[in-house]
Amino acid sequence: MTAAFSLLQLDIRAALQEALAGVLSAPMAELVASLLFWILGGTLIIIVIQVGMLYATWLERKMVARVQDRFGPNRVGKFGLLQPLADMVKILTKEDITPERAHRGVFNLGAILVVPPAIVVFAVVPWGASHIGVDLSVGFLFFVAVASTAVLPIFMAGWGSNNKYALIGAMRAVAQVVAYEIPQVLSVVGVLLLAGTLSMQGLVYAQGPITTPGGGYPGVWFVLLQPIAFVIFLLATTAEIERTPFDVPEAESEIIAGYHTEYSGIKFGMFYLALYFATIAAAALGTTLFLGGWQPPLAVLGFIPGPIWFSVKTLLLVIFFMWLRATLPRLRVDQLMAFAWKVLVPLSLANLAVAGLVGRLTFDAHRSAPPGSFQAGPWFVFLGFTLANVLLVLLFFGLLSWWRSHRPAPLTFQSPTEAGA
Amino acid sequence: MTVAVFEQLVFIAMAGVAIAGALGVVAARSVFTSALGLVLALIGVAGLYILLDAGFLAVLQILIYVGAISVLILFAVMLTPHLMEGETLLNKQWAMSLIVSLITFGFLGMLAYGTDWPVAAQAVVPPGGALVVTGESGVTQELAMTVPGAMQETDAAGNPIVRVPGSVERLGRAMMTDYLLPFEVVSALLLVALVGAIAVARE
Repeated sequence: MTAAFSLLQLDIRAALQEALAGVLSAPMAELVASLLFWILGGTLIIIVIQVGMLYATWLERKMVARVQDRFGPNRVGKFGLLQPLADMVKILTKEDITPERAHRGVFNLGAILVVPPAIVVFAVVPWGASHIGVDLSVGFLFFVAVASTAVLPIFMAGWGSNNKYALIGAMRAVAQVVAYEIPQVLSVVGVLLLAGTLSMQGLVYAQGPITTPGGGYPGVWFVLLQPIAFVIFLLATTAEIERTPFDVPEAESEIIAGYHTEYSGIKFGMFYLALYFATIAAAALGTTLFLGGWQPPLAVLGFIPGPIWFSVKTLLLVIFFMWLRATLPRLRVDQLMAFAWKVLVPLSLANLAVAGLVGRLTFDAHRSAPPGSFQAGPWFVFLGFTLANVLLVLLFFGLLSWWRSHRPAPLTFQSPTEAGA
Repeated sequence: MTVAVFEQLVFIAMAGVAIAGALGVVAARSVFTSALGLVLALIGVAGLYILLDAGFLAVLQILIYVGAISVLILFAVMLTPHLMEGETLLNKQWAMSLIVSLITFGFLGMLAYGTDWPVAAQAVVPPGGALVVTGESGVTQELAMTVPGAMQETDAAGNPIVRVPGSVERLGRAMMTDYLLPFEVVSALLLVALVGAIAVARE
């Protein structure tokens, strides 16, 4: 056990560079060590998330079944544990159909390109202190930017299928992703403001104790300082990855299966794969931003290596997404857009203002306080934020309910022909 | 093979992607594939930005141009299913436009070739963030001061050091100090455009 733990804490890239230093010149050794590290790490990440995805489908089916008072898969293997493998064989051997009127190139490319963005984002996910592909100075923005390109293959699928349901599904997907991207990023800006960095590793360190580099302020998990941002982030992310209750782009009771209506066999499998990869990636982002990343919740638990903490927290968030799906019914498409623009965007803007104001005030007091005093510790920052957050929630929902009871009658629009007639 | 050759290879690959995408934009028969070619060209340009150590710019290029603007273009194209059938690429004015494009191309080429690009000797800022030059490393402090945004400071012991902030910090500082007025004017312009778009859409 201890040997496995110490292996998990090894800095693989530094070890590789040291081994190569005797053979190659210093800059070449660094380059080759980095390339080897990326190839090894990339392969490892793909294997891990692939296996994770297979068993996420199993877990989701089991969980949803229990919520609905069923057993779920239990025929293949003990507790149905081999069910994902059987499904994989089934999906690989199914007939692959391309509709006659489809635009063949765009149709196929859509299915191929839907997976890469969901894998590429793992390049900046910090699994541990030295377990990160690249710690970019703009890591968070890289994650968001790559994730935002995932709508393009959805477009290609919807348009290339030449099917009205696919087209409607793709348009719903794009409108939804564009709308929910705004509260998702706005809610995180408060966190970035407090951490003073965009680097994923820097964000993890900012939530850690003062002994770690870059740590000290705020020194507690951001979920404690920015609980409103965390809730907005979770809701907006559920919409981004199109999971129930925000899965109107593939609402089977309305538009069959949305943009992947026409896909079958492994091409449909690619969309399924991308959905689960995106779920795991979103959970990993939430862990990094709000749950302290790979840092243990208590300093005494520090003997367990970072990658294990990170995986446990990510798994908890994945289970949360599944729990939402099992519990809540799907929203209507107009409710969905109104919720993004009329509730989440204003709330995240107000939250950003609070984060900036309280952050500035507590930061100054925190820096000028003598070490060891109450103001220098993380609980001072936490108290300030809790007070502000409670006020914000009371004010926002008070205003919202006041407006709901006092709003004017809805405007009625007349088309010019109607008005003339 | 050295690091420089490796960089050259990456440059050729990225420039190739950008040019292939740009050719796709003008040569594709359907508007939808043209728009997809535009996406490819924009991704290639983002790759070039990364090669130039402008990671922030590259990420914003992807976020805004690929993730938002191309999506809007595709959204508009998607509402026009009849454009799926290929149309002819040439019309009566092809000779005229060929001449104009060739003249523009030649002029821009001459300009690019004839300009004496100033390659100032600059300290290399690590992409991760701030570089502190203490004078003990190979980089001299005078050299480090040529980087825009570099600041003369003293460390805890009172020795003079030069602190060169990372690219995001330098960009933020420039926008909030030297270029504050243009920055605010652009924001006001965008706000006006936004309000105007809503006003037009409601009519």
